[in-house]
Amino acid sequence: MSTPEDRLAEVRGSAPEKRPTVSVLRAATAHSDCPFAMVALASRTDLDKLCQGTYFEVSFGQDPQAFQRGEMFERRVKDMNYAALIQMLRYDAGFPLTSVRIEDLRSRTPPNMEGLKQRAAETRRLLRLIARKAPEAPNIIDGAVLTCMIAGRVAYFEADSLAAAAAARGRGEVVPDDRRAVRQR
Amino acid sequence: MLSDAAGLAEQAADALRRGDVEASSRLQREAESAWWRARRLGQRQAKRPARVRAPSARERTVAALTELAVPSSPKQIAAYAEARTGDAFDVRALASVRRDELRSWSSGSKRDTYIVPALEGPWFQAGRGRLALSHWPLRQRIVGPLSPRVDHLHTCLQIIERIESADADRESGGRMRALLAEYARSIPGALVDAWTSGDDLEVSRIRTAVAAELVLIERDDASSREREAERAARRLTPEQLVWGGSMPQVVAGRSG
Repeated sequence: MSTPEDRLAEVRGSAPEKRPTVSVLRAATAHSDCPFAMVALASRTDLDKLCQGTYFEVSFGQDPQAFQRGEMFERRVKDMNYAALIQMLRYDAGFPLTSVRIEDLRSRTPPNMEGLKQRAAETRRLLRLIARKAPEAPNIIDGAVLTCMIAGRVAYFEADSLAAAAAARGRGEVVPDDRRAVRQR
Repeated sequence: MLSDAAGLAEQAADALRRGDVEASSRLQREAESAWWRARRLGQRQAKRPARVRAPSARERTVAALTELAVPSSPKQIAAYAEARTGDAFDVRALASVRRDELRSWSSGSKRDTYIVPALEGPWFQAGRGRLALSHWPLRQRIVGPLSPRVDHLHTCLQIIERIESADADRESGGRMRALLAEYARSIPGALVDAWTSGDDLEVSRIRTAVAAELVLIERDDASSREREAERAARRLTPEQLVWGGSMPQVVAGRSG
């Protein structure tokens, strides 16, 4: 019996493959009523490359300098033990002075698929602590990984960071920041 | 050379005691010649400026971590080392230092201290982000949720101490003040305004602000580190206590 992965690979056939990014997923949710787009997304078919040489070929791409600027911004925000990030959360999101519990998942896991799974499991555990308002719950999760199912497969959303603090009414407030990469298993 | 001269002088005295005046005179001349050579060499070396070997990246890292006394990122170590001496510190050198330390440990050679990763998370994994020294107590090498901020504040206090120390010259004091301004920027009330630079910061004001923030979180961090150190001592092997444990493999994923 063939697995969902095998069947989706059959659908894709020889078409070029592309792993969806968060912005692609976000765009896809706007027209989730289009079965063709949904099948292309689930089977990781790169529709841009598929259209090469045709009337529908796209003549644009993402600016690599924009990526570099983004990465530099990320580094600067997390420099010196997340000093700038803590400052921003205090001034702009009203985080109290004691809300500086940081869990750096990126630092302690290998930068590969296994590390991604470990980070997803750890993020789930930490989010449970936040939801339960446990005293040891973190306020900042660096390199959090969230998961969801797409076409029967687990997709991993990598967040640059995820911040949470006790809100005025005592409920945990979670602010994911720039969910960047998505990988599907 | 001086011991040669002394030996010859002794032989000359023996020869004289035996009544061999000729041999005694010859040995006496040789002894005097050896003594003059030794004296000239000493004078030459005194005139020549001492050749000081530049400390290696490893030595500078150990020195910086010893003073900071908290797990620190390579970038923080480099910034502190540069501010202390004024010499550039290439942070890329730390990548090879890190590999060499583990290799040296594995080969069984003995060093006074090793540059090791800080231990992070519930499984005490080797963190890629922060370095520590192997001889530090376990609780000092463990990074808990509050530790990055507490360590940041302690680093501020260490920099203040360097600025106020008697051996801080004008140049290194200036560099340290610039570094302190960067560190203090995120501490409420530490700087007069966001544009305060190293030249016009008030050290006493920063110390007060650091203490005010530390009092809120330091005790929690210390007890958490202590607790985790006891747990680590129970569950890790001697090697893992230095180089970190491993996280269990995830056997089944789940969405949510």
